Amino acid sequence: MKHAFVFGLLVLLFILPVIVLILSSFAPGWRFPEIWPGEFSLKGIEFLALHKEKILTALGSSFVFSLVTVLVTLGMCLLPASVFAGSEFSGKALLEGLLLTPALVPPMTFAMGLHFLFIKFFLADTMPGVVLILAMFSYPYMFRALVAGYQTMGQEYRVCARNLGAGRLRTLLTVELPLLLPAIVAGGSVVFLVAFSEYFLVFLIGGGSVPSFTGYLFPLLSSSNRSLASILTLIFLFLPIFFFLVLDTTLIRVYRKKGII
Amino acid sequence: MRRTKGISLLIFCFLSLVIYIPTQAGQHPLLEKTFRQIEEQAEGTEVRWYMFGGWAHVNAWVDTYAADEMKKRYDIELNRVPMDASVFVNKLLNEKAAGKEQGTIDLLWINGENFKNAKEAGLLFGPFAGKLPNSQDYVAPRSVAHDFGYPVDGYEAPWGRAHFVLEYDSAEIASPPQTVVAFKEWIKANPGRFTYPQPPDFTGSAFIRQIFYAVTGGHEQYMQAFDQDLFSRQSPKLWSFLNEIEPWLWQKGQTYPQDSARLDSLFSRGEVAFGMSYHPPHAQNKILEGAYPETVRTFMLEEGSLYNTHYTAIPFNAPNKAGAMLLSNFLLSVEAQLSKYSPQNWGDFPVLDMDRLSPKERNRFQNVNLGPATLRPAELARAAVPEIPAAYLEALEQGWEEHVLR
Repeated sequence: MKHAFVFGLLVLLFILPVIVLILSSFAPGWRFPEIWPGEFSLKGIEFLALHKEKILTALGSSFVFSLVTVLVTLGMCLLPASVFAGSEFSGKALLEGLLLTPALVPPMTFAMGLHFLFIKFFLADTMPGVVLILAMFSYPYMFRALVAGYQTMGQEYRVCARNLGAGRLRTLLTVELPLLLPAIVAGGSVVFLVAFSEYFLVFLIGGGSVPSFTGYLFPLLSSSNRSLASILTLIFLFLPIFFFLVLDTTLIRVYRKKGII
Repeated sequence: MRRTKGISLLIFCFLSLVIYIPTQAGQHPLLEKTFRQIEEQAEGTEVRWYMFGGWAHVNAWVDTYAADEMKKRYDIELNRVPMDASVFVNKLLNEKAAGKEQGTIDLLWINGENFKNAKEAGLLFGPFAGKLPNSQDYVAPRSVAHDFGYPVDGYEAPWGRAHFVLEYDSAEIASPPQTVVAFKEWIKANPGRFTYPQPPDFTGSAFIRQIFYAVTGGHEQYMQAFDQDLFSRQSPKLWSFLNEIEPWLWQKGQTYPQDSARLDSLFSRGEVAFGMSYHPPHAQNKILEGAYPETVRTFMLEEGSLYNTHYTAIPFNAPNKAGAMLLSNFLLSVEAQLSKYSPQNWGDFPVLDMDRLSPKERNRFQNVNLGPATLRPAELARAAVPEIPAAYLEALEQGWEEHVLR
């Protein structure tokens, strides 16, 4: 009984809005007194078909820069996270706090000034520029996850591998990274979601030259074309879910193969 | 988005102070070429057009009709990039400050205070409008000499005309109020059934200017440069009008729709009884889209209806200025203006001078079916009152926040 209540609550919170979205995708003229839409139309889908090229380019581009951002943040955070997890030094708490600020400060405050620098360094309006600004803003999520990962892993495996004669790189690749995988996936998922759903930074640094799905979606969201906005929101919603499902099943398969679970 | 606007405004002010550069800096070599040479130069290139992206039907028109025609005529790849005008003005300011000579934007859709700010900061290329054959042939120079009271000087080329109208559902209201006073009475008699988008939204801002003219005795007094005394004397009448109706508005006036699109949604769901738009065939377009009931009609108040012209402009660092000029010229062609005029596509009013067209062309414009929801162009023209100079506009938007919102 208790579970039924929780289940009902979850359905109400998460499934019902999706149903409303699906309905309004096909009913642009759904008005107040009607509980069920009076008429359905495929106009939103038609628009989608007409613009599929642009939408797909935007989706693809968003996907690519979000994934690259995950890799870049991983590269940025591996070393500092291992230091933070494995040693004590004075001012550590302060430094950790400082390292987390990008996630707390609204990105607009530093993005405006950085835009100027990015123009100077020919990074504005390019894909590397977008990846860099997104990484700069989202690395704390990766950092936190990696610190936790290193702490769970402990020092022993590394010490052991080094003792047995493995070099630094080999230790990292064959011992640490596989053990850190759960932490990387956790941090990477958040970084991916943050990068994928970021609008303003991509817009400012990408300057419209780097297509992004949010850049395509946001103007239409605020338009009064509800059916179109609903359809695009559904795409926006299901793409990451789909991605995580794929990631999750592959991971489980990898773990099984290696005998971890 | 509100926060974005506030911050970008701040940064804008800051940057404007830093990089004020006079605009007249000698003729650009491109402007010395003939239009034929410009055409040859631009053939086969890409043009990136930055414009407001919140209207799906306008996006569709640009992506299909305009893009196809540009491809067919000049083998030009037209790429539309959605971006609000205030945002691209900021972007250009940043680029100017950083000395970026090769930008990414070729053409802008712009008017009003954004044009004024961009031109004053030296962000625009020109004067190019006089070079466009379609502008020379079809546009009456006087009709596009000023943009919100600010001299255009050929730094932007016209491409459409907007006219402020109100929308109602004739199935619900038999005859809408005809004057501002009657409108006020109606609002008070029907609590919660009216609201307007929160300025500085384009449409909401136009609505308060409309009321401003009506409650202070007409537009003529404001047509000269900004007069602080006059403004301080007249604006309290507007604030008291707006504050008087506030308790009777949707949500008791505690909140306003953020932009015109949200008002459209409220109106389409039947939550409020009136919509408003700066595009007369907007209601017809929404009916065709399926969002508004067939019975929606438009009307104007007796005190008059604002109109303005919107334009295209070319940034100082546009990589493909020749291509941008071709596009700007194409948008002024009879074909493009006709296509844009049809409510099926968009319903934006033509900016061409009908007297300069051949009788056959004129007929084609007259034969466009604007649909039952749209007022006739002649009716609109009779009630037309010009836009207020940009300085008043900004003062009104700030004043609204101070006196009405708080």
